[in-house]
Amino acid sequence: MRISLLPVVIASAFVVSAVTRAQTPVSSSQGTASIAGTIVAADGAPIARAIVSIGGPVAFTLVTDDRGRFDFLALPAGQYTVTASKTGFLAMAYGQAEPGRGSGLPLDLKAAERRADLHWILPRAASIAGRILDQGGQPMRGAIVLLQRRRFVDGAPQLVSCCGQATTDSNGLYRLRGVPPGEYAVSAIPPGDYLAIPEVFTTYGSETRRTTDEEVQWALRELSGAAASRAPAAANTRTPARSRTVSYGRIYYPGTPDGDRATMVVVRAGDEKNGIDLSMTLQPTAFIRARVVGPDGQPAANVSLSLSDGWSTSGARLGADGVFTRRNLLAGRYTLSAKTVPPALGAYQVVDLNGVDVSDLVMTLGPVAHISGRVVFEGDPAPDLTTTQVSVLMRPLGLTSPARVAADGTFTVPAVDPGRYRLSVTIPAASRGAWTLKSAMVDGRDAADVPFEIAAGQAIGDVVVTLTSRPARLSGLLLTADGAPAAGYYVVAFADDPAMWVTGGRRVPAPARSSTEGRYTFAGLPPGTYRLAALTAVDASDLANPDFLAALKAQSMVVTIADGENKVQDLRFGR
Amino acid sequence: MTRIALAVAITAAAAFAPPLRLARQTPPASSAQQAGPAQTPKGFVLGRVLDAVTNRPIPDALVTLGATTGGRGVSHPAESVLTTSNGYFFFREVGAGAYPLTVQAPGYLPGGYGQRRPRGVAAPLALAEGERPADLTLRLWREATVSGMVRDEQGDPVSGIGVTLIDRVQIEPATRTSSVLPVRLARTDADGAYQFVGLLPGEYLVSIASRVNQFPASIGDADAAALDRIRNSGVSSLSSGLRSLGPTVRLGDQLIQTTGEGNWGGSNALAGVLPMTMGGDGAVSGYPTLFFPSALSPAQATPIRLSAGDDRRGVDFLLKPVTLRRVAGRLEGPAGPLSGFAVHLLPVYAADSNLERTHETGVTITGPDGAFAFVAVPPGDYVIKAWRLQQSLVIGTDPLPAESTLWATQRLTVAGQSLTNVVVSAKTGSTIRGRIVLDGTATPLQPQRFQTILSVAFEPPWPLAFGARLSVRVGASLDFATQGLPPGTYVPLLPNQFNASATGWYFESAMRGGRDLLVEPLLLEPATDATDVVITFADRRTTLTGSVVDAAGRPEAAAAVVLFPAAVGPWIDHGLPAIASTSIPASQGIFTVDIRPGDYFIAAIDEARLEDWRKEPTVRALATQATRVTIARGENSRPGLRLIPIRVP
Repeated sequence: MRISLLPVVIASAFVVSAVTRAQTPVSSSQGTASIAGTIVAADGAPIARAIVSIGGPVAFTLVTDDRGRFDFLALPAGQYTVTASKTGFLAMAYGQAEPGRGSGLPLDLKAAERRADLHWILPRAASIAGRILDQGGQPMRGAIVLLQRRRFVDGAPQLVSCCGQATTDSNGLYRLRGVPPGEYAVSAIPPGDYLAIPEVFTTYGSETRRTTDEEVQWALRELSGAAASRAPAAANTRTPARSRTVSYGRIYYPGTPDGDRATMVVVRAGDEKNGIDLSMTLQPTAFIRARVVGPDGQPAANVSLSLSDGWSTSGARLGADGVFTRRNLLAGRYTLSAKTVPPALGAYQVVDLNGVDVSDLVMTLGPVAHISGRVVFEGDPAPDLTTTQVSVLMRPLGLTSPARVAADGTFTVPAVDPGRYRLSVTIPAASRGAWTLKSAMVDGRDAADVPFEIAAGQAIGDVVVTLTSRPARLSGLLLTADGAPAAGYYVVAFADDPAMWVTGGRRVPAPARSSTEGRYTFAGLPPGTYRLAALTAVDASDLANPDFLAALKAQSMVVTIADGENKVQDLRFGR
Repeated sequence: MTRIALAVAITAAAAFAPPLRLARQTPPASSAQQAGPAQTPKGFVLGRVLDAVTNRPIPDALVTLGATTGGRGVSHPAESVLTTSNGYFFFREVGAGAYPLTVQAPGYLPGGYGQRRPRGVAAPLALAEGERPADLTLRLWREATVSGMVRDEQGDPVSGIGVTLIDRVQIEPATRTSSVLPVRLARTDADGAYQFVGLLPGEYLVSIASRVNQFPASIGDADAAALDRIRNSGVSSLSSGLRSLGPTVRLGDQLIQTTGEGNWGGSNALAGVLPMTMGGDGAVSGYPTLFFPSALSPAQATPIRLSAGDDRRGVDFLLKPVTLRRVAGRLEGPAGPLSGFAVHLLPVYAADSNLERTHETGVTITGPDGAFAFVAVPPGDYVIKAWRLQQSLVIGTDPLPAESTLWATQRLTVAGQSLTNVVVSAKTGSTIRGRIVLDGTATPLQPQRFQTILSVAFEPPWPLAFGARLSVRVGASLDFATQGLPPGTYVPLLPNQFNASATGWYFESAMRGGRDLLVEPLLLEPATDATDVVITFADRRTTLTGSVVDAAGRPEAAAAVVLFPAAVGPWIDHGLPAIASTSIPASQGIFTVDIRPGDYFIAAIDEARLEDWRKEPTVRALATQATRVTIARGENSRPGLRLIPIRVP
């Protein structure tokens, strides 16, 4: 799928070239423009009681009347997008080509202008339905059914959640409505109050085993023997072995705990996919018992230990014996991170569990990795860090807490688990508009965009995190070869350096749709060299695919943005 | 009416066996007696899980043997097993102790050892060292379900709205056992279908509650500071919708929220899914709160009666719009118009009851001139309530607010016309004051500990304003005070009254002018503070232990013990406040109940009557036959107390 996508979109990519133009600021006046229109179904029938929202200089929501009409009055001039939704239909913005992909067409509205001709179709929503049964073939009620689709994360395809969830009823039936077209992995997890769920999140779960027929026969013999002889049963009849501990876990359609082996369910607009049934099976579980010792080999006091399965984390403060136990764990990769309190020493361990108990794990405390540096403010005077709480954090977050920046601008992330990280900052909402992250330099590379590696016990110092009050901005007009505004194209900006093509990074922003006047805007860009291209159709998720960007690079133009620059760059299609 | 047995008063103590020394099977003679903590216990638990009605075994049921509650610390960690195809479960190496033994299975209500009916209570399984109980059976009853469809007047399914299920027992003051909201919430799916599962037998009401959160458009257009004023206006967190504006639909001069579901189902999502519409003449139409099948109040509703295992389908709703009226007016305080106040519109049936939080009709905020408007009010009888409270006054050492609490309440009827000039007058609240007495020699507590652990609190008559409980502020010299309160009946509420192991102090009494406020709750009058409440804690735990026997003197475990004030007359006159204690005997008919010192009647009754005995005729009849006991502080054993179950009329 990800391969076939490429030529289609690239075929409609346009090589653009620069146009030089004086900037004309957008002036705004108050409340005299209006936008009206009609929402219809695919057969042309008006959709009454659809909810229509407008976003721009002001935001409002209206409800369509019996003829599917809406009318937003008294709008200030500016750029707006309009989105409509209705139960049973897929939400669509005006000018959006496909549900769930791309974005709406931004409308440039002048003072007193009236656009009364907006008319678009909401496609019928698709649905996925089926039945979830438990190990005994009984309906599993309250099971949570989830959809995931494949998306690129840091260059590799992964299953990521999307499109809501459904809960099974008392007959085990579920129906997921409003599913956008796409390919989905369908999976179910048991409800939190169901029989035998794993002890990942809690410390109070109990181990669950099946009672075996051998155990019952043995116990019945013991009881009848005792009754017959009026004496204790012979002590030499051995108790039968216990069965393996078991638990329910996530199961993917058509019946595998492994998401990579799921059969993808293909959904087109309006499809009703029924019979997507799942049988939940009890899976073997195991426990992890770890003993944490100090460098001297003695049980360590004042240690907290966290266990993570990649999705959720639980922790405990260890007792004097330094022993940590978690039971009923499903097969999977678990990371354990022990740290003294305060975190002077630490130990880190990855355990691949597969139904076999791990009872002899010894974690020896050693020096913890840590990162230190300072935060620099550029532009406006620095905020008072005693009242404005700025924190530096590591991504992925994992088990490392954010580090608050001290009054003098220095910070220390005191205990970092080994791994690959990027750096980010959190700024209070009140200051968020004023300051944006410009760079986070680690060993001469910007760790805000490019991950760096840290090993156990390693100390990384002299990190410089720069926040600026003058983020760069890139905007302009997209013009046809004849110089007319090219409305409704997707302008794509991405870093020239492929190392910066990371998911959630700042240098591959979401595509900007060119407005009715051909305007496009990217705000908050870090300075650097970018590639620009225009496409007829693209979704933000496509840009996570490095192959896609590599192919697009050949048909793009280069633009360099200086620190704090408000760059106006008009673009013209090549002839 | 015939009354069979009479209670037997206290008899000689000699025959009584101490609790938890039970042996249904003789333990192995010498080895068990020598069994120290290092040895593996010889006892085991073998049993079966059966369907209580069909007696068929239930396979794949999850049986959990909890951690022991007796003995020195936990000797047996909690452990769970799934039953075999014949419904058997087995736990090995179980030592002496009292174990919670619970079971759950798909399609069944949760159950436990000793449970005799679907709404019954489980008792711990008491085991001696080496004991191996035979014929242990856990019975499960099938869960009941209620399901239906919600459609609008065009027959279209209405998806994504809240449907509330109300346990009728819990909204009747006579049978209410807690101030917990008696409501469950389900949401209709994309096909308009909803379902409640896991229901106990009983009588239920099903309702679709429509609430409209509205703001004057002038506030919605205003800046962030105005929104902050709304958030800080003392709007209770229970009306969470008012804390931020969210998506809105404009209706005339008001903005109507389209999201922001209430915590308990009062659903202004109805306004988003099935929006109100305004005609050319300005008339608004929309959907009123309904009780199944199409009633406008609980009194007219058809209750859903469920037996164990009932699968009640077709509890369908057809929502029809009605013409809604406007109720507008002004909120006046002693010093002029009050702006930034939350104003609530409550149906008369919900006001002052614990449906206040779920069945509010509308909520708004007064504008700068004190003006308020509810734009979408179905015809009916209402109460307007307005107040402003300091919300952060639960824990901590903040002083009571200097500003007096203002409150207002006013009844009104909406019929064929809008009401445009309702003037609501707010008055200054009255306070409850008093002192806390620590009667004993245990370590005195810091004042704030009373709020976090002992929870000196009152059950307030305005649940919407306060939630289920109202905490008081305790001063340095253990004097306490509430903020200003609306008039009404306040019941002292000490939920953790006997769980004082962390503090060493046990709640004993709340008195005012020689009256026991747990029997005769405090009636707060307008403009009159209640100043001399004395709340006493003692440093000794008081419990009462006894046994229930049948007419032949054999242990009788299939009973419940009830304990109620000897001052039966005042207790009845004040609506039987929920201070009575009840207890289920464990094995061998032995019961233990935590109690505060005082004069009581005690009786054993049929366990099946635990839910409905607290009614005037029953209590009067019980009082003539029950045993009267006077319990002294620190008493913890009355081994001769033997009760024979009384037939409850």
